[in-house]
Amino acid sequence: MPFEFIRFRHGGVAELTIKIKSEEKNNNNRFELDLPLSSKKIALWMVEKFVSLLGFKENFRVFKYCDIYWYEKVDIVFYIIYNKDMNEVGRRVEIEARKDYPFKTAEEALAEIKAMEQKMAEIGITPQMRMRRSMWEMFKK
Amino acid sequence: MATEENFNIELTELEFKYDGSEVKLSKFVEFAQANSPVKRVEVSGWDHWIAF
Repeated sequence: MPFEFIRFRHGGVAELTIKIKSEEKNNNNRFELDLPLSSKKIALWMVEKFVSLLGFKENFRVFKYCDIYWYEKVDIVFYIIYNKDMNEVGRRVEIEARKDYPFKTAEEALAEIKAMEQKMAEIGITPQMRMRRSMWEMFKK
Repeated sequence: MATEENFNIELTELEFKYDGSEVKLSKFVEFAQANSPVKRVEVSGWDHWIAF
């Protein structure tokens, strides 16, 4: 398999996602394919059964509270992460290039992310605080 | 990096992620609102990581 995991998002817009690292040293630039699911019809047991037939099973789960703001070219998110027992296990801030903006190159999108990062210096966000490890790398069993 | 010919933002996650434990949510919200967002969503739910 060219990927390590599938993420099933169950809340808001339900989706299955595959991510593949483009660079070993960080997770700033990854292949990511989101497969939207019908949130009204999808149930966890259906996904569990489906992926079990492909030889997959749940490794871990987290609950996330997200506050998301969209701008023309990027979105920013503050989210709080809880483990399966609903104990808080972390807080994150993200700046992400919008997938619905017609960026022509990764460099163009990264420039917009860096511009927002500079603006966010006023609330304490700095390049030195960038995290390299993904949720998968931090929480996998 | 993908070239312009094969770059597809719809298949690319480009993001910077930061430890938010030292950032106050109220400050984040104040900053975000002051920069005139086109849309805001509060959402919560479970993410399940499924592996082989």
